[in-house]
This record gives sequence, structure tokens and C-alpha cells, in this order.
Amino acid sequence: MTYAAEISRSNPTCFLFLVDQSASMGDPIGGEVPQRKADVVADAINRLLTELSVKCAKEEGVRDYFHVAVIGYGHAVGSAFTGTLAGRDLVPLSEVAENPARVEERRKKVPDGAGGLVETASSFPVWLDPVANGGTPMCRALSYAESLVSRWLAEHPGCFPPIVLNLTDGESTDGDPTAAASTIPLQVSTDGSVLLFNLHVSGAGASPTTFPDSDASLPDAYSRTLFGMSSPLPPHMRSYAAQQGFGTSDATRGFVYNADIASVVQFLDIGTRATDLR
Amino acid sequence: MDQRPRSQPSGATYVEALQNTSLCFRGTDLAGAAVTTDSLGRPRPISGNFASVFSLTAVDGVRYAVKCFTREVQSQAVRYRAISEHLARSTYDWVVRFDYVERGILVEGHWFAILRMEWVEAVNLARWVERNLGDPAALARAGERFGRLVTELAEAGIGHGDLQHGNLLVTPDGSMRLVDYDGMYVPALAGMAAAEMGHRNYQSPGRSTTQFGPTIDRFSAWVIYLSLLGVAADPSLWARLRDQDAEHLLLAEADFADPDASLRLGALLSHPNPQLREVAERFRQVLVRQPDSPPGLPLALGSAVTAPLPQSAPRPEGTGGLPPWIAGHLRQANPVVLPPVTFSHRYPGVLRWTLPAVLLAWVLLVVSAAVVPAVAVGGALLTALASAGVALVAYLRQPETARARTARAEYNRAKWAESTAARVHGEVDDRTRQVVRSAGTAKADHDRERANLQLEHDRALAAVQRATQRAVAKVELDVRSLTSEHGLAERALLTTKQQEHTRSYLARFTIKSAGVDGIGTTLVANLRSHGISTAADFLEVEYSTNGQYQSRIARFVLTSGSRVRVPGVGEVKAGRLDSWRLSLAHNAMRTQPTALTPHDGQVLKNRFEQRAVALKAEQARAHESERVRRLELRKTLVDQQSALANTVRAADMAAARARAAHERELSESKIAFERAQRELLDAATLVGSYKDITYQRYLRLVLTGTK
Ligand SMILES: Nc1ncnc2c1ncn2[C@@H]1O[C@H](COP(=O)(O)OP(=O)(O)OP(=O)(O)O)[C@@H](O)[C@H]1O
Repeated sequence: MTYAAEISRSNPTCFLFLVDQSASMGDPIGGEVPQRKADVVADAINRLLTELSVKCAKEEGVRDYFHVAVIGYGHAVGSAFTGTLAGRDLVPLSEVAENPARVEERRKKVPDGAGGLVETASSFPVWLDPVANGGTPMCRALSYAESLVSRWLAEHPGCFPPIVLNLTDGESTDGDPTAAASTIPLQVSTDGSVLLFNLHVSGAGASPTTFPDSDASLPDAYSRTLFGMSSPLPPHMRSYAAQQGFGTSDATRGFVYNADIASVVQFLDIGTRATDLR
Repeated sequence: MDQRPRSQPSGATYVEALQNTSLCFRGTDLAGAAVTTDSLGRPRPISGNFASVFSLTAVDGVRYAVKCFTREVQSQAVRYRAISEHLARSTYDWVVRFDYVERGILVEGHWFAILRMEWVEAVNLARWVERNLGDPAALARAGERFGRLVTELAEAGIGHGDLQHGNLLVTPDGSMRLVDYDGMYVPALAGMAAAEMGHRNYQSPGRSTTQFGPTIDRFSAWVIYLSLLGVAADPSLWARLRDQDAEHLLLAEADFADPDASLRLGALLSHPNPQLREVAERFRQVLVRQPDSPPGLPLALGSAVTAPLPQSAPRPEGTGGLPPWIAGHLRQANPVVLPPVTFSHRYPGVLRWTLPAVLLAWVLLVVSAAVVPAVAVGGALLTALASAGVALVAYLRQPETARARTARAEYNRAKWAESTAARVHGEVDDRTRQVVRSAGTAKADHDRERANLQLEHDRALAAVQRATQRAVAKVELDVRSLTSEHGLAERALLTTKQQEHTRSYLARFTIKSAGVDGIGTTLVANLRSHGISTAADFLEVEYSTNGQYQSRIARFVLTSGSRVRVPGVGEVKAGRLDSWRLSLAHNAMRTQPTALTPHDGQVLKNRFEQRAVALKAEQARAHESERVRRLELRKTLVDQQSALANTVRAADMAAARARAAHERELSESKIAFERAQRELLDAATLVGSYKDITYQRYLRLVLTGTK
């Protein structure tokens, strides 16, 4: 039985975000409101960190079910946190939750429930700023992730397998990332192999796709490569994805094309829930 | 973005919506409520896997706990309605009142259901236990309180579905409240499946969603009850059996799966408290015999497990190294006083006359000193000495003097004997303590050894499991590349089939009957002699420039790849032949296969399936070898544990024997010491009565006649 380990304070796991910060991330992705890829990716990570913190909040505060690293790759490869956490690799989640670089006020128009729209403001914690500069050393970033993960696994051999989430436009400049990516699933805990998921932000314009099970409808070689690198979703995540209305099969991969990735946090069984799958 | 059915909002989405309570609760009585916030000033969630709970104070000042659901629960509304009706009739103090509000909260333009509950100011059971480790009586009361709660649940026909430390809240006054009714069974829900399966550290390994009824809490109730009894009987178990921050009480998932190898259960089963041991043993029986249908709690037995064991009192300081009971004895001894003995005669026997004579001589000498001073002084000294000597002899002759001497000698002997006995007794006592102490150390050593066995086993098992996972991951990757290889092979085969089709189509058209302009019999023969008789025999025509004649030379590219020049077929005719072939090839393309025939596809599929089967077999082998190693490791562990248990038993027995022997010796030395003490006291009393039988006193008696 794999992907069934308890995620708890005494048996925490880790979450690694790899963020493409290369010059090409300054280009827009398609859609009605054009956004820079770098902005999309930074928002996604800030959102994911918030989502994780909320998920792990208990009576007394946020619990360290996870340790989190945000690794940027562009003109360099290394920690991409800004503010107090700048320069740090794996940080316990409670510390992450307490230390965003700043809390922004974001305004948006939302339906008021009576057919109209109202503008509301809400606070949005920010740990990571958008950056677009330099090449795309994705292979280096993947091997950096591999070394972080292997160090983690040496200390936590029984943990729920770490999750590496790569957010990129796919245009690696230091070689074909497939080889670098293929060693990541060979890192294992007693509970299964490390999961590598990918969020592809692209201006290629095909329709957004979440957790596909083949690369048939993907627009280009970049997205097919990233799809090929992505781990299949473990069965319990697949069933949560299905519950949320995504079509899934055995071949469903942890790959998202120009769509929301934060839902992946919803798939995590944190703490000690007996899963529905045993 | 992508189109899919509306799913439950995530925790962070609720946090965002709750920043504007006038909007998200528009038109409900929570509109404008104040939300408790975190250090960043954002609504502060308490999350589980199904929901986030927020604390809200409504405009009218009432405080609520609002549960916002993050995962869909099957027929949630029906369940909550039934639960609400059932609980409405009850008066139990653990019930938390709630309303299930279907149009509860507006999130991004859609309404979602919430559960609005009374806010319970309390801490969860694990934290509460931790805070009350210093108060075993409170812990014992919690056990009792929990027992009552379980009885009441049974009486009301309710199954909570997820009894665990996070759902049992303890208020400051010590009463218990039960929260999270998502998975609750009430009789009206009979026939439905369970909505969830509870906390893994509280559930039987065999629990399934089909078990849904009033007895679903039995197993978890045992786990909680046994844990509470355990900490009440021995608070040190809390730190010994759990990691800090562990998500369980004294027992966890692994203990239920393999009770025989369980360190934690083992500690309870061998605990010095016999009642606790007994409850633990019954739970072990549950695990082995009927984990999925445990009996009710053994409440009567449980109430017998009470306060911690009395600790042996530490040795008090300051009594000169004597054990406390001896010091007590010394203080109690009540000295007897005998009447003092006096001399019975002034002049004993023969000396009756000698003494007066000597004294008379002395008096005469003093008188004569007036006449002859020198003689007088010498004589006086001499007679004084003589009379002292005579008095001494007289003193020694007194019967009392001899008796006093005997008494004093006896006293000295008794005093020596007493101090020897005290020393011996002290030594025996120290040795006995040493024996007890080393038994204690041995026990701690054994505890550590046992923990190490488990640790070693766990480490070895983890290594085995990781090796399997690595093998599985490798196979998994191979399977993945096999899939893409399969796709490529299909594409390649299709291309081959299409080429074959084209070739056989073209082969049907001979140049002889093609009627290409200018290709007569001679040229047909020439072409044939160069291997070209049908449209299939060449692929294209290549042209090259002949520098000498400024004309172009045509060469046919044959299917073999070689190029030939055919005499008589120049640029123009070759061109005609080429376009003739090309138009045929176009026709061929229109009729070519666009997919593999089912048969061809199947052949290919079979080939890849064989490889996939081989890979799966590799995976199965990895799992099998893990299973075998796991069994071996477990056997080693159980063997080592039972060997250790034997060692411990032997050591315990030896220690008990040594202790008994030392205790016997101790009580003997105690008796000897007490006897010596009594004798010393007697001797002291006797000696005391002779305190006036001294030479000095005798001289006084002789000279003055006073006794
Ligand atoms: N009425 C209440 N008053 C105070 N705190 C509460 C209340 N209800 C719930 N809580 C707190 O919120 C936490 C989560 O609530 P609950 O257990 O209902 O959520 P859940 O998602 O079903 O969790 P789980 O994953 O444990 O099933 C509880 O552990 C408790 O600490």
C-alpha cells in the first residue's frame, strides 16, 4: 500500500516548489485578460502556500505537517522566498505561515448574490515576487530538488512521499529536462516514490487542461515533455480529483496546463484521516 | 478556466470570503459578524480534512463556531437533518447544539451550506491530558466521564463515527463535549453507508464504510478508555509511550495491526498496576479475537484502576545513616533509673584498726612539728601517704567497689557490642538497598533494550520498504516509457503498412500499358532491362547537369536506392514517367489505410503487453520479497522480544530471590542490633547506680563520715 502514510507533526513530509524565473516568463499567456507568466506563477505559489497554511491550521495555530521550499530558477538556482525567509530552503510550515514578506490588499468584483457585482477587498499574503530574468536552467533546478528531497528522505524515511511541483513555461535552456526529471521518482520513502507535478503556463493558446491522462490534446512539444515528466496521480488523489469533477483514469498525471493548481492541496489527506481506500 | 461541476470551496477561499461577513452572510443572522483573526489579521481557521471551522461573534453578541465544508459529503443535508432531530430530544451535556444552514455562506457568487454551532470554549482531549499530567485524580475523573459519555451514546442509539482526541473537547470545568457530527449514526440513518471512517489511530484495521450503526464507536472507545485509565494510573506513560505531538493517546494504528509486536501495548500489559494490566489484556483479546465487534467497555474494572502506585519513600537524611525505623526506636527508648548504691561500711574488716592508728600517728607528728620542724614535715608527708594507701586498700576491699567494677566492664562490653551490631545492620541495609537499586537499573536497561529492538526492527523494515519502493518506481518508469514506445511502434507500423499499400498499388500499373507519351516498345524494353517495368519500381527521378553538353541527365532512383540512367530516356521522357508515377501515387494515398487493422494492432499490443506483464512480474517479485523479508523481520523481532522477556523474567526472579535473602538477613541483623541496644541500656542503668562508688567519695566517707 503506497501513498497511505500519515502526514503529522511526528511524521511530516515536504513540499518543494520549483519556479521558473527566466526571461521568457515575462511573456504573456493567452486569455481574455493577458497576464505575464511570471505573475501567474507567483500568484499560484502564494495561493498554494496560503492554502497549505489554512489546511494545517488547528486550535493552537499552524502545525508543521509540512516543510516547504520555494526554489527559483532563472539567472540562478536557489531559494526564491522574499522577506524574512529569503535565502532559506526547507522551512517548517508554521514559520512560513507567520512570515509572508507582506500582506497585500487585493480588490476584486464579486457577485453579490442578488444578481449584481460588488467590489470587495481581501488580504493576500505574499512570499514570492514575480521575477523574469536569465535562462531556464530547469535541469539544474530538478537536480537541486532531487538533492533536497534525498536529504529530507534520509531523515524522514517513513514520510508520505515528498511532492515536487514545478511551475514553468517549459522552455528549458540547459538540456532536455526529461532525464533530470526521471531520477526524481527514484527517490523513495517507505510509502512510495517522490511525486513530480508540473504546472505549464504557456502562450500557445490551447484550452486549459487539468490532470489529463494523455498528451493528445496538448499543444506543443514543451507541454508534452512536461506531461511526460509528471507522475501519475496516486489513487486517493485521483478519487478526490474525480469528486471535484475532473475526469480521471489510471493514466491521469499530475499535470496542469494554464489552469489552477491550488486544488492539489485539497487532495492531501493531512493528519490522520483513515483514507477511504484501504 | 476549465469547465467542471462546481465543487466545494477550499479553506483559503473561505478565509477570503469571511473577510467580508456582510457580504458572505448577506440576509442571514450572521451578517456583519466579527471573525476571530490570526496574527496576519485574516480569519483564523481550525481545519480538519473535511472542513474549516471559524469563530464568529454575531452582531447580537452571540459567539458561534461556523463549520465550512471543503469536501463534499454524500447526502449531507439528509444526515444533518436526521441527526439534528434525534439530538433535539436529548438532554446530554456533551451535545453541542447546531443548525445546518443550506444557504449558509456566499462564496464567489454561490451559496454553500454551513454548520452553525454554539462555540465551545475548550481544549481537545490530548492537550487536556498533557496539561493535567500532574493531577491523576482529574485524569481518573476524565476516564469516568468518558465512560459515562459512551454509555449515554449507546443508550441514545447513537454512533459518533469518529471518536478521537480532536473531537472530544474538555471545558475548563472538566466536562466533556463531543464535536464533529459529520459521520454520526442515528437510527433514522439505518441502511446508509458511513460518511467517513474515522481517525486511523482510533479505528480497527478492518473498519469499512459498510459498518454504520450504534456500535461503530466501540473500538475507538476502548482505545480512549484504556489510554485514560493508563495515564491516570501512571502519568509517566504519556511521555514514555508517545512522541511529543503525536496524533494519538497511548495507542496507535500500528499497535492494532500487530498487537504481539507492539511496544506500547506491551508496556500496558506488563504494568505493575494489576487492574490496568487486566483492562489492557482484555483489549488485547479484542484485537486478536474480535477487532470489528468489540464488547462494551469494562467500566467496573476500569473504576478500580485508580491513583498511581505508592512510591517507596526516599531515605531521610540526618539520622546518622541509620534506617528510619531504628532512629525511631532510639528516640522511644525510655531510660530506667535505679537508686544509687552507697558504701555499706566506713572501715571494712581487718583495716578497721589500721586506719585510726595511722591517723593518730599523723596527728602526733603534726603536734611534735613545733619542736623539731624538719622531722615533723618528713613524718607528716610519710604518714599522709601511708594513710592514703591504707584508705585505697580499704576502698578496694569494699564489696560495692567490686560490683561497680563488674558493672562498668559490662557496660563497656555492651557499648562495643551495640556499635558493632549497628554497623553490621547498616551494612546489611546498604546491601539490601543496593540489590533493590540494581534491580531497578536492570529494569530500565531492559526497557531500553526492548525499545532498541523495536527501533532496530523499524529501521530494518524501513530499509526493506524503501528498496521495494525504489524497485517499484523503476518499473513504473519503465511502464511509462513502454506506453510511449507502444505509441511510437504503432505509428511506425502504420507508416510501413501505408508504404506497402502504395507499393502494391503502383505495381499494378505497368509502363508497357501506361501509354506514356514517347515511351515505345524499345524504351519499355530498355527500362525493363534496368529493372523498371511498373510504377512501383522507381521512387523518383533525379536530374543532374551535364557540363559538356549543357543538358540535363535524368536518373531513376530505384527502390533499392541505386540510381540508373536508361538509354533513350532523357529529361523530358523521364519527367513524363515521373509525373505518371506521381499521379498514381496520389491515388494510392487516397486509398491507403489510416489506421492499423484490428489484427495488426492486436499483434503489437500483445507484444507490448508481454513486456508489461514481465515488468508487472518484476514488481510483484519486489513486493513478494518485501513480504518475505517483512515476515522474517517480524519473526526476528518477536523472537528477540521473547528472548528478552525470558531474560527479564529470569532477572526478575533472581532479583526477587536476592532481595528475599537480604531481607531475611536484614531482619536478623535488626533483631541482633535491638538486643545489643537493650543490653546497653540495662548496663547503662546499672552503671548509673554505681556512680557514687569512687575512691574520692570513699575518702570523704572516711574523713567526714558522710555517705
Ligand atoms: N462548536 C465548536 N466549538 C469550538 N471548537 C470547535 C467546535 N466545533 C469544532 N471545533 C474545532 O474545530 C476542529 C475541526 O472541526 P471538525 O472536527 O468538526 O472538522 P472536520 O473537518 O470534520 O475534522 P476531522 O478531519 O477531524 O474530521 C475541531 O477539532 C475543534 O477543535
